[in-house]
Amino acid sequence: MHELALVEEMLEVACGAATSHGIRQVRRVHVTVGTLAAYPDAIRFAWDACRGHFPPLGSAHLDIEEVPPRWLCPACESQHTAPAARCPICGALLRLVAGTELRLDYLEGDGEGEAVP
Amino acid sequence: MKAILVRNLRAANDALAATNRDTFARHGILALNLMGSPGAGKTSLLEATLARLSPIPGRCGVIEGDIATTRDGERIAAHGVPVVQLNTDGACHLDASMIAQGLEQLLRDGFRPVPQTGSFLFIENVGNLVCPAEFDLGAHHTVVVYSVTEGPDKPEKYPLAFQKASAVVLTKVDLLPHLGLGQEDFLSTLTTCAPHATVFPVSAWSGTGMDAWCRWLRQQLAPVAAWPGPEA
Repeated sequence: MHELALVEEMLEVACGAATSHGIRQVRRVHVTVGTLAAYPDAIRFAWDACRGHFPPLGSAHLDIEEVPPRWLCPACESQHTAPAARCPICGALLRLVAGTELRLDYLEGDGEGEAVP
Repeated sequence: MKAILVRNLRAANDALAATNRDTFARHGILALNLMGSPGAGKTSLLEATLARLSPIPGRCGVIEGDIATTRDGERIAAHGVPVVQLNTDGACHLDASMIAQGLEQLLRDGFRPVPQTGSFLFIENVGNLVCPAEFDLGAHHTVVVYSVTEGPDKPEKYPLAFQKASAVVLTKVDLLPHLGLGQEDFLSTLTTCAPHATVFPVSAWSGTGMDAWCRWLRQQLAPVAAWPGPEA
């Protein structure tokens, strides 16, 4: 359910951006998804189910760049990929530095408009 | 052609959460986001807590989040505390806009916060340890309600909720003898997985540990109250 709400927001933002950039038909949308934030397969499923309701995106392909979680130890600067609150090396509190991203990066399509940097 | 966007998809929720924080500050409200699995004892804890905190009118308000039914809301209302029941119709979490609407309704329906001494707003999230942890509501504290019957491994399995928690209420400790477990089995995992949390072993049924939990709650009021007393 939560991926569905997320995809609806992706589609709304992408639809608004397509209109403001003069893109009639979006071919590709690129997003970055941290795997702690959402389940990429559920996002793909919801995307295919919902894109038909947003005409400029009706046939748009979704590219997902998946970001696995990563923790950084601010004390010894070691990095870790297994969930933990404390550094297994020095015991300091770890900081989560990747894995919660949810970002709409860019879209590509056909239209007369001009790309806005 | 390519349009570069770089838009954070949480931005809309985060902006509303910031607005909620301003609203809470204006009213002298301390907001607590209670998260936990279905059946962890969130509503029972809340009932036992309200019975100890709420003799002053305007001291407490409650937003109840559930996928369906008004049962929890009715249980809270029976204590004479203003409550708003939000039904998410299938959604697995509360978000910042639901809290904004819920608080507006709560203020219309008789919640009169007292900025001088500070008031509590308890937000009981949908029973789920996964999704609610990802949505900022603007609350001051995340409180995980975690029952001993769930077993000692849950903080390792659901790290995000526990890592964000400023308090963990370990409920149903009266059942420990039936589980062949001791509090220490839970406390050792929590020390590692919930490093920012104060842990309160309680039994809402027998009252064990409720005084320490309520004392912590009263202490948290001081920063939001205009005239903080020794125990506001």
